[in-house]
Amino acid sequence: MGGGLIIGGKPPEPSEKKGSLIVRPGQPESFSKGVVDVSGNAAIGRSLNRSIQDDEKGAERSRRVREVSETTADERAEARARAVHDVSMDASNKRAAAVSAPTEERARAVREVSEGAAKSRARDIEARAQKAEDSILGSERVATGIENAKLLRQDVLDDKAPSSKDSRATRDREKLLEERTQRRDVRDQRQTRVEDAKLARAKVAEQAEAVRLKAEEDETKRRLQEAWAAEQAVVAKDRKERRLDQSPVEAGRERMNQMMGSAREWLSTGVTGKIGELGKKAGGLLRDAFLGIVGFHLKQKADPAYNKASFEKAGKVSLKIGAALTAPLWAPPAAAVYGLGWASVRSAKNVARWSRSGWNAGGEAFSSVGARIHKALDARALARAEQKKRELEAAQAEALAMNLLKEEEERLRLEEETKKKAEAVEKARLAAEAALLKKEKWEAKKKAIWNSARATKDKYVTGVSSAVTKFWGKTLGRTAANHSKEIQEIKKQNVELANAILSMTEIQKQLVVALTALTERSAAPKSEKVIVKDEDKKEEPLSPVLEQALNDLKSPETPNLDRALEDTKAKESSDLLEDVLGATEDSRAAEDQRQKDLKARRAAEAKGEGASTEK
Amino acid sequence: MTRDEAVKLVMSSSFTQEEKAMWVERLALEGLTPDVLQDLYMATVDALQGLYKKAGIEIDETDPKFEADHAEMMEEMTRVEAEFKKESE
Repeated sequence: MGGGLIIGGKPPEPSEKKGSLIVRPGQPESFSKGVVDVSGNAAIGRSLNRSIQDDEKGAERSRRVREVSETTADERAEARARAVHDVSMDASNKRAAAVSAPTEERARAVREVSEGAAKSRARDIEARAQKAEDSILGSERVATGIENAKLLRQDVLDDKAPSSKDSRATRDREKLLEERTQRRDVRDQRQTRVEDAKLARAKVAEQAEAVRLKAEEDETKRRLQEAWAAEQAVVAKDRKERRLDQSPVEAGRERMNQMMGSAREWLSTGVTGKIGELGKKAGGLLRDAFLGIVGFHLKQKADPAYNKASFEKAGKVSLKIGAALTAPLWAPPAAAVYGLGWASVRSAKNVARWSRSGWNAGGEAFSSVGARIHKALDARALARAEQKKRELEAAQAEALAMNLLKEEEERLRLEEETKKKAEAVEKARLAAEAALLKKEKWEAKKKAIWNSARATKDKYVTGVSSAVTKFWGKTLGRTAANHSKEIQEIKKQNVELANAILSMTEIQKQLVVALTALTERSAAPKSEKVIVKDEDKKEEPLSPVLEQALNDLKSPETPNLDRALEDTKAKESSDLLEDVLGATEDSRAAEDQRQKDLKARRAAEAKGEGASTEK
Repeated sequence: MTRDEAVKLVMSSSFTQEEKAMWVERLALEGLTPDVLQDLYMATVDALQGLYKKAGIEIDETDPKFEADHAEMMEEMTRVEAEFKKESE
């Protein structure tokens, strides 16, 4: 295969190395020097050389020899290129066949092995099932025997010798039971075997299907490879036919390019990496072998020193013979032999030069090929380097993109957190507002409840006081009316007392009026009520009247003398009036007791009212 | 009636100095609330009863009018109490 010539190996150095394809032109001195150095007769050699160089016949011969030599070199190069091509084609075809044949054989072998293994497994399963069935039947027989032995033992223990009739019936029954059990077991086992066989068949079918699919896959691969190989063969044949019109060097160069292209294509569209690796290794070996053979051949045949040495050897022999025959007696023959020797040496030199020229051309051609290989390899290395660079750049770009992505994710996460915090703060604020509203609502509700309770209580107090006021107003008014004469009489004797009664009666009337107004206001609709709540009650500034009253009442040390006198008089008048009226001690005690009871009742009522207010 | 009018009434009443001081102070602190007004009224009733007693005038509790008024008062108080209980529930 041509690909092997390109991949995995280092191309030969086109110059300087031992066995190189290139022979440097323009250095004929070495050959001349070599001839002169080995002649052994410098004077004769130099003379002969100079005379021969002037000889036109010698030049004509030299041209002919050079033409022959060049023709031979071209033919050899063409033959070598053709041989290389044939060898490469053969190797390619053989490799293609070697690649495709094992695949098919392997698929067939796998299929056969899988089918055989499946059948073998099915047989094994059936054999194991049969064995298990036999084992179960044997176990049941043993169990039945044990059971019978137990029954017999029980009969013996019960001192009931089994009669022939009982034992026969028992045996019949047991036999019947045993047969029935066996039939049932056989049926179950048959069913089990059928199920197992179904499972085995399904498994085998599954495996056969897998093998078939694998074989189809392998067949597809093989066909693809065959198609590819056939296409390559057609292309190669076409190229070979076209190459007949080309010079061997051009054909070799084209072939090399084709092989490189094929190798690249083959590698790029290779069926599998493994086959590619194998091809690469084989190609490397083939290339090494090819280059080794060519190199050795060229070393042996294209080395001017080799050719020179061959002719030199002959020249030396001739010169030695010539020298031996330099005696005058043998002058003519010696001259002839010497001339022959000279011709041989000359020929050796010319042949060496011509050979060098011919091989120079071949070497240049191979050098060109080598340079192309170098160039191709350099381009490939450059492409690989660029590919690696692109991969590195892509990796860096990817890393950068990942970093950007991470930063973006982090930013989004922070934004989300900030948003959540803001939402939480807003939620808390709304909750606080809601709580405040709720509290305000509750305060309003509480206030309404309190007001309602207060209104209820006020209504109750007002209602009670109204009833009491009404009663006492009527009673005291009636008393005053009934006893107006008496009061007038009292006034004559105790002015203070009478005035006090009249004054207090007047005050009571005004208070009744105020209380009545309060009662009427309390009875008004709720929306019109004016409720004075304790908490809302503001400290009223002291009015001048109130301030004066407080001042008067707070100076007991400087009482009003007139009032004190009046008080004294009133007391005396009272005492006198009491004496005059002659109130008895019994009636006074009864009145005191009544007053005490009345006060206690009022105190109890006031306490109950306070409790209801608190409620 | 205003607070000042109530103060004037108290000051012109026949209450003792201590009683007057108590009522004025209460009016100064609490104002003329229904409670204060009611208590003041009952205080005048007590004072009048005391004065009548001093004058030898007895309230005739056997008087049918007195009994009728008392019954009316009790009935009114019962009604108010029932209403209060109903509203308090």
